[in-house]
Formats: sequence, structure tokens, C-alpha cells
Amino acid sequence: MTRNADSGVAKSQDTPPDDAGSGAAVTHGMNVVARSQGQLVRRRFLRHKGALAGMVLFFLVVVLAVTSIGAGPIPGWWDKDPSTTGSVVGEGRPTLSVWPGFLGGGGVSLGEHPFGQDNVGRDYFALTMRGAQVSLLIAVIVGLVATLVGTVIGALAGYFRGWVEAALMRVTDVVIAVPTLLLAGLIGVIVAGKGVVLFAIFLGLCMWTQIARLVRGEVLSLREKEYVEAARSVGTSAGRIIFKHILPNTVGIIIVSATLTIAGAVLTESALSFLNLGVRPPDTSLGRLITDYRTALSVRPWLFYWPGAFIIAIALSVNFIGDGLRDAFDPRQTRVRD
Amino acid sequence: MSLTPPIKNPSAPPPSVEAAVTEAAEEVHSAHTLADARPPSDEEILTVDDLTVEFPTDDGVVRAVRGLSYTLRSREVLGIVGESGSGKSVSSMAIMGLLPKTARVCGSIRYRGRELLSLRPKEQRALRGRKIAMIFQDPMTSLNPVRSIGDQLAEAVLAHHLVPRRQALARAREMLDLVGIPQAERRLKAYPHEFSGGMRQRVMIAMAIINNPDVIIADEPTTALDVTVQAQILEKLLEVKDEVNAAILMITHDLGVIAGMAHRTLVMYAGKPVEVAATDDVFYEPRMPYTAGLLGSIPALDGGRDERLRPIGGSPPSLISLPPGCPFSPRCPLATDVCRTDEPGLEDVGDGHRAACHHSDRLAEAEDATAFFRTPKEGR
Amino acid sequence: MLVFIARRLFVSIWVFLASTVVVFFLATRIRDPLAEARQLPDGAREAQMAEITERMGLDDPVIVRYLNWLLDVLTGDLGVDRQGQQVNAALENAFTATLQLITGATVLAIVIGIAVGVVSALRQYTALDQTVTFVAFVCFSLPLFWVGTLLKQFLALDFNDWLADPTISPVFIGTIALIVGLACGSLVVGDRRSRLTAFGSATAAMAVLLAVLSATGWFADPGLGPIVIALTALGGALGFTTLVSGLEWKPPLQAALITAGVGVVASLALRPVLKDPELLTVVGLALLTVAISGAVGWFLGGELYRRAAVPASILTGLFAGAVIFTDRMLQSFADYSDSVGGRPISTIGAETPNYQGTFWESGLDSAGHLALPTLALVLVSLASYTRYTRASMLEVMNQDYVRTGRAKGLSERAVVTRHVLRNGLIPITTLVAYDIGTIVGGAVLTEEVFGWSAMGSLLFQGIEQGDPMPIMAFFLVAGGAIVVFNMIADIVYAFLDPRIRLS
Repeated sequence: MTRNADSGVAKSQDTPPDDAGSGAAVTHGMNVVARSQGQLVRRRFLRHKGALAGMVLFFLVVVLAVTSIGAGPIPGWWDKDPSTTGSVVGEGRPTLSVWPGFLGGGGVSLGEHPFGQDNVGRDYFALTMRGAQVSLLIAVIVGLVATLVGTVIGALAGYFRGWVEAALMRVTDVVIAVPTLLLAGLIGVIVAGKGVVLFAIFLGLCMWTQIARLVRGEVLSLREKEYVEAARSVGTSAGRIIFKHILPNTVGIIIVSATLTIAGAVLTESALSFLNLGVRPPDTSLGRLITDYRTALSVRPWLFYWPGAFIIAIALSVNFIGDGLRDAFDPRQTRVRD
Repeated sequence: MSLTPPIKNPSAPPPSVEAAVTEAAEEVHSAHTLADARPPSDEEILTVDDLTVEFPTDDGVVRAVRGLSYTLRSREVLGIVGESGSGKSVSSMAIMGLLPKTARVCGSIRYRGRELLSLRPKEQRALRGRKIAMIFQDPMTSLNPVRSIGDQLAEAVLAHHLVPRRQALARAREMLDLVGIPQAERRLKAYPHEFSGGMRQRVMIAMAIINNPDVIIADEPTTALDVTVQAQILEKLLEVKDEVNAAILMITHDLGVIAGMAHRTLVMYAGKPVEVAATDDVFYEPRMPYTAGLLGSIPALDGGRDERLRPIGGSPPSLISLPPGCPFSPRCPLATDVCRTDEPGLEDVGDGHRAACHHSDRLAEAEDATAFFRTPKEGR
Repeated sequence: MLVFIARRLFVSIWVFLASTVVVFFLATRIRDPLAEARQLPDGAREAQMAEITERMGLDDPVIVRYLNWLLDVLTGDLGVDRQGQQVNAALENAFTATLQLITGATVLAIVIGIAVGVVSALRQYTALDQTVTFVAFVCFSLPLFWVGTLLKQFLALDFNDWLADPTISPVFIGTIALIVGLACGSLVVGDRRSRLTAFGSATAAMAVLLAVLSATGWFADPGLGPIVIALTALGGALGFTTLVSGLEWKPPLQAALITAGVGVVASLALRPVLKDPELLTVVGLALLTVAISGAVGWFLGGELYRRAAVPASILTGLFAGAVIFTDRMLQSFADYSDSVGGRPISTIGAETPNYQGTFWESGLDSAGHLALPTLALVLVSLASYTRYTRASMLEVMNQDYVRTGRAKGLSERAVVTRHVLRNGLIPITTLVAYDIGTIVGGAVLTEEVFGWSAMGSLLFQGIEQGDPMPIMAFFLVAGGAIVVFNMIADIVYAFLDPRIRLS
């Protein structure tokens, strides 16, 4: 018996009727209101509590990171600058207080330096926000680049078969054969000092292989479908078939793997920066902050906690969103192996 | 088997699988039909009484079976016919005790007088596959693809009998012979994907009869098969039924399958039985418009060129919110106001023939009951 | 099948060759290897620069340097680094260290991860399943270096401090007992009452146990003693028999119990041998255990029960052996702890320099150094195995053939072990193989955090000095592992799934 993830209806060969099981609204008697694929996906996604919580958390992190210190010329609501040094107040301890006054705490307030200060008096809240901005930016760029490259390569390989497929998949194999930390690390060193955007693009060029394999698998099965045969038989061009008929149907797995790639990119970027192979001063990122202050763990542990907490928050929320999307696009959650 | 297998010439090369399959098929064609089968006895072996099955879901309670009652006698073949969602499969899963935990089951199912619904899981398991066996619709997915056929057959024996594995395998081989799979010894080591659909369904039959059950529930056993293979499988089923003295509960949406196969037929609609009678009576004197509609949907070979199909309009009702009155009334050409307010019960309409319809007398008067349904052309 | 393997091998070799070209090319681009030499005072500079140029072949085009490297590698020579040191020797040491670091962690992560995933799938939608899912997501999102650093700071330092006066506070006892109780309660199948009973008894038992251990100062000088060994072995016998065949049949249970008994007696008899054994002795004893317990199962099982009795007996035997092994090691703990100044959990490196001790003590030394990196690695990599196993199991549980198994009248245990597990673990096997391939490359991070001088140090040396040789050595192992294990994954998959095997 198949447990339908959507409604928990037990579906055997003939019962209950499909229209109830797949989530279409059934009104009295025989009127069956069909729901579009998009509505179904949205409905299933919104039922996934983890995904919703992830969505909210991710949104909060992004809003906090962007509005607090502003971006580029636009100023934020936080008045301190990440690079300005100053006198260290109260050993640089965090002044953030979240314990409400009526419970015997100091009340909810940010204070002068909510996340504390480092040894030269820089405001750690501003620094962490700067790091979060960079890490988010890198993760999103990596996600976009990897998805784009992976989708195109996977789609071409899956559609054309033959030598095109052989060549493209061998290229993929070659990239897979190089450990991500090594490949990204070497490239990171080579492009060091040329800005985080360039670094992110190259990192994206190291992380597309999973998506390419997934997309290829999907395209391989979709190209045998009758409607693709039909399109081919009336002389539709290959490009049009791929982009108009096949890829729209793989959008689910592409979105899901893009999301998971973003989560992976946050961790990979921070690991590379930790190994001194990624983001370098004067740029900073969450991973970079951890590296910079890891020796301070025993004296100023907060310098170590905050960026870590933000990495976890971002990776965790994006992973939850990805899981919710997977359930929404593919209620049977079948994809175990590419 | 009514024919002895051809004697193999030891010096001749072993026949190819294909040749052997054809051989077996021919053999089956000369096998017996329902008329040859041993007649049912009066002993009641399985009694279903006012069975209801409900599934709570987010959208509401799905009422899959709403009061089903029937009796299966020893060696009898009872056909249960209905569309998707009529509750026929769910009721059979209830007999097997294989419904998901979320299902709410009420009523009574008695096997030789023992109430099945109140059995403890262990007792239920001891009956399953031993006294009541089941054949599923799709032989392609019903066998484990990574374990050999012999393994899976022997497992059925070992689940109920404390015998050495060797002996269980011997029994498995015997059963493969019985269902007409050539070179049974060698095929024991084969995997499901090496068999054709029809051959796999034979394996499923072998698995069902391996413990000499009293009841075989066949849930759409031929739906997934080619038409030519369907007949072979059905005949094989009738044949092995006599071999092990079992009764068959034949569940199908295809009236054609029932025709030469079942002693009695029960038609289900929206979770309820709507007509029960000897199979011939159902075919020639339907007393419920739905049955008539089903008959009208079958193309007849002997029909004239201008004879058209007479399909039933509309689609089955939602089991979450059934219309008041007769659930078939929105699709029924005979429906009147009373049909839309009162749900008819199963009434005796003569000689063991029971139907649930306010207007069964109108069907009885009609010369051709299917004529109430319009052809698509007339409907325009 | 052979053709398939041969083709796969052929492709893999070419893929690997191509990837060496890519890496070599990148490795020559990272940095000017002469940068330091240029800073030297005038006299020394030219000589130094000429020497390095000569040694690294900097005047040759990259392609020539690559071909020279390739030809050398084919003869087993990895070349010399910028200082003229043999890379072969460096690689050998580095690889041994990395292997030590990752083996235990990988095995633990796979075993625990799959076990948790299976349990989580079998208890789908329960509180246990949801907790496991949530924890898995958290672990999955942890930056390894961050966790590692935290573990170093708190677990290691605090644990070592605590060992000086190993008493457990009542609050801590209560928390641990509660967690264990909750876990037991959610694992039990049955109605509310049996769950509550399980929860209550497990909590109480754990609390009493911890209180006694704390009061007697057990943690400073641990050990199990013959009675605990006997009880644990007995429990193992019952547990494994339940898993393998259920308790309703006598012979498999008898076999397992007898094996457990033999094990306990043997532990007493072998005391002198186990005082300070060689590694080979221990391995030999393990093999002997398998042989003896297998024989016990074989004879007691008879023809009817052999298939259940032999595995139950062997598993029990190995389990008893492991308990005895642990006991011996624990008994050496006090001595070892003293000899390293009361700080048995180490945060840096692979071993205490110049440490000399018995087999058990040096075993503890390795364990103390491996504890933290292993914990960190397991925490981070556990989650993906759990998630994949759960998904794969759920997928299989919905298959028609599982329903067929139930319809045959198989017991729930048989359905799970013979149909669900067997089929569900096939994709996991290949996933595990893929994963093992990437571990060597990924270990760099762990090595860096815990100060192990291993494969990662080759990589960093190469990057720092702009020297392709150590980088290529690193890549030969790390990339080679990926290619080889990818190949193994495909072959194993083909082997386990008969549908592919034949095509």
C-alpha cells in the first residue's frame, strides 16, 4: 500500500479514488475541481512544518544581514561599521540581552555591542553581519552557477546521447574525480584577491556535477515520453524540445538540488575560508571570522559562537527548505540515488 | 493437468524457453473450464457480514466499503465486479488483514466460523498465506526483484511449516510444474525479471497455492497481462483451484473475466454491493442499472455494424462526500426523485437474485436492459 | 559481467588521467615557487633560484613538466619537492596517518547512520522518527571545523578535568537517565502502558547505574568484571537471536547462549594470554571465536535451524569477544591515565610522542587521540547515511513485493530483514562506496582542526610553496580513491541487483 504523503490516504489499486488522493478538491457529488501542479506543490510545501520554519528562519537571517549594516551605498539601521576599531568596553562581552525583565533578566535589548567586540574593539555584530552577507552572496552565486552549468550539461548529455553524452559525462567524471576541497582550494588560491564574486563563480564551477547527473537521468527518461516523440515527429528543433518540453518537467528536481547546493556551498565556502583557501582579508565571511578568531575561543568564546551559529542557521534553514521542496515536488520521495 | 507432458527425448537438445512456453500454452488451452471444475459444496467457508472500512484523511473520511456482506462456499468461485474505487480491493485486503493501520474496519469476517477481525496479529499471520492466499494485480512488481523465484516460493512454505529448506524448495518445484512453468528445476534459481508477465503471474499462483489454501483471493490477476495470456492464466487458476480444493474470490473490473469463471457474481458500487446473483443471471437479466451500464460498455463481437457502445456517463462519486440517496443516481438514466433521497437496500428480486435498486422491476420488464443508456451519438 | 568490469576500468583510467592533467595544470598556476628565493640577499639569490628552477624544471613548458611527472609516477617515483625531499616517503607517512584517522570514524558513521535510519523508517511519523530527522538535519548543517574546535575546547578539557574527581552531579544523572528512558520508551512497540513501563524502568535503571558508578569512583579506574561480562554476553545472545530468528524456536537460542557461556569461560581462561598480547594474537582469537561459535551454531541448529543458528551464534561470539576486549582495555585505563598526566583525551596529533606501553595502553593512547576527531567526523557524516537509509527503506516498504511477503504470512521481522532491508540497502551500498571515495579528500579539514600531520599537510605544503609535487601526491591518493570507489560502487550495484547483472 502506498502512503500518499499528501493526504495520508491509503491508495491500493483501486481505492480511494485518485482524485481524492492526489489532493484535488472534491465537492459534492461528481464535480471535481482540478488543481494545477503549482497549487499542489505549494500546498504540500506549506504543510511541511520543517520547511516553513526553515523559510522563516532563512528570511530572518537574510533581512537581518542586509538591513542591519546596509549594502553598498545604502546605509542600514545599525550605526557601527565592521572595520572601525575602538576601545574595548567590558572585555568586549556581548551586550545582547534576551531574558525579559519580569523573569529576572536584564530586559530585551541590544546594548552597545550586541555580539561583543574583538580584541581591537571592532563591533562584532557588524562584522558578523558583513560575514553573513558575503557568505550568503557566495552561496547564492554558487547555487546559480552550478545549477545553470549542471542543467545545461545534463540536459545536452541526456538528450543527444551518443558521443555528446559520452564526452559530457566524461568531463563530469573528471570534475568528480578531483576532491572539491582540492579543486576549489587551488582555484581559490589562484583567484585570491580578485574579489568574492569571482571566487564564488569559480566555486560554482566546481559544484555542478551532482545536478548534471540528476538532470541527465531525468532527461533520459523524459525524452522517451510520447509527447516528446510527438514534438519530434512534427519537426520541432532539438533546442526547442529541450527547453520547452523537457526542462520544464525537470524543474522540480532542479529547484531541489539548487537549494541543496546552496546549503552545501555555505559549508564548503566556510571550510575553504577556514583552511585559508577561500575568502581572504580584507574580505570576510562567516568561515573567515571563525578562522580569524579561533584562537580566542578560550578568552572570548563569543567571537567563535556567533559566526558558527549563523552558518548553522543558514545551512539548516536551506536544508529544511530543500527537504520541503523535495516532498512537495515528489511526494513519494523516491530519489535515493542519481 | 489434463494432458500428460510430452516425454522428453534425452538425446534431443533441451527445448528453448519460448518453445516450452508455447507448449505450455497449448497444454493449458485444452485444460478445463468452469463447467469441468468440481462443483461448489454447501459448506460456508468465508462469511463477510456488514463490513465497513473507512480511512480518515485530511480531506475527510473516505468511506471505502459501506456494508458489504457475502458468503463464499467451499470450491466456489465468486466474482466481485466494480470500477476503481468501488471498494472491492479494500474489502479483500481487510480479509487478509493487510490494511494500513489508519483504516477503521467494522463488521465481521468469519473464516470457517472464526472471526478474523478480532484475531491477534500472530493468529492472523498464521492464516495468511496458509488458509487464505492472495494473488495480486501486477506480477511485475509483486515479486522481489533481487531474490530468486525458488527462494521466494520456499519462503512461503517455511513461513508456515517447520521443514528443511531443501524440502520447501522441492515443494516449490512441484508447484512450478503444476502451474505450467517448464524446466522448473532450473527456473527456481532464476530472478523475476527473467520471466514474462504471464510466467510471473503463474509464479504468483504457485506461491498462492503452495500451502494448499482454502481460499484464494485473486485481485485483478489478469489486468496487467496481454489478452492472450489472460485466458491462459484464468484457466490455470481454475485448474489449480481443483488441485488444492480451494474457493476463489475473483476481483475484477472486467465483466469478461467473470463470464466464464465465476459461479456467482457480486457487483459493487461506491463501497456497497448493488447486485448479487448467479453469473448467468447477472449477464442476461441485470436488475440494477449500473450492472446494465457495465454490460453496455462491453463491445460485442456479434453486434451489427451500427451497434454502438453504450457507456455510463459521468464518473464515480467521491467516497468522502457521497450524494444522498442512491450513489449511482447522478449517472443513472432511470433515476427518479426517490433515488435521490433514499438509498435502496439489497432486495430479493427472485430466485437468489438480489439487487439494490428502486426500479429493478423496470429493468426486468425491459427487453434489453442496456438500452436505457444512450450511445454517445444519441446523447448529442 | 567481466566485460562490464573491464569497460568500467578502462573508462576510469582515462578519466583519472585526464583529471591529473587538470590538477597539475592548476597546481603550477597557484603561486610563484621562487618568491622566497627572490628575497634572498644578492649573493645567495641566484644560486638558490637556479637550484629550485633546475629541481622543479621551471624552464620547461608545463606540458613537459607534466609528462616528466607522469613517466616518473608510472615507475613509482613521485618526485622531489621544492626542498629536494622525496615525496614518496612523505606520502607514506601522511597516508598512514589519514587512514588511521578516518577508518574508525567511517565505519562507525556508516554502521550507526544506517542503523538509526532503519529504525527511524520502521517507526515512521513517530516522535522518535521526527527527533532523528531533526537531529540529522542539524548534524548535516554543522561546519566540521567549528564542531571540532568546540569539542576540543569543552569535551576534552572538561572531561580530563572531571576525571580528576569523577563524580556525576545529580542533575546530570537525571538528564542522562531521562534521555535514555525516552529513547527506550519510543523504541518499544505497543500501547501507551508498555511504553510508559519501558520509559520508567529504563530511566530508573540508568539513574541507579550512574549513581553507583559515580559513588564508587568507577570512572577513575573502570572495568567490567566477570559478572558484568557474563550478563552482557547473555543479553547479547538474547538480542542477536531475537534479531536473527526470534525467540520462539529453541535451537538458535541455545546455540547463542552456549556461545556466550563459552566466551565467558574463555575470558577467564585466557587471562594470562591477554596480559599484553600481540596484535596478531588478538586477530587470531577473533578468528577462533568465529570458527568456534560457527561450529556451535552448525551442530546445535541441525538441518532445520542452521540458517538462523549459525549467524546468531557467530554474532553473539563476536559480541562477547568485543566485551572482553573492552574490559581488558578499561582495566588498563587507570595506569594509562597516570602515565599521561591524567589527561587521557588528547586534542592534538595522532599519538603521544615516544609513548611506550603494553598493547592495551598504546591502544588507549590511540583511542584517546582518535576520540575527538572520530566524534566530530561521525557527527557530521552520520546524518546523510541516516537520511538516505530512511528514504530508501520507506521507498521499499511501499513496494508491492513487501505486501506479497506479508500476504504469504511472513512475520514482520522476516518481512523487514528479508525484503525491506535487503532491497533497501542496495542503493545505500553504492552510496557508501561513493562516499568512502571522497573521505580522504575531505579528511583535510579534520586533520587541520586536530593538528594531525597527514595528507592535508602535503596539500598545504604544495600550496604554500607553489610546488605541484606534493599536491599531485595528495591527489593521486584522494582522487584515486574517488575514481576507484566510484568504480566499485557501480560494480557492486551491478552485482547486488540481478536486473543489471545480466544485462
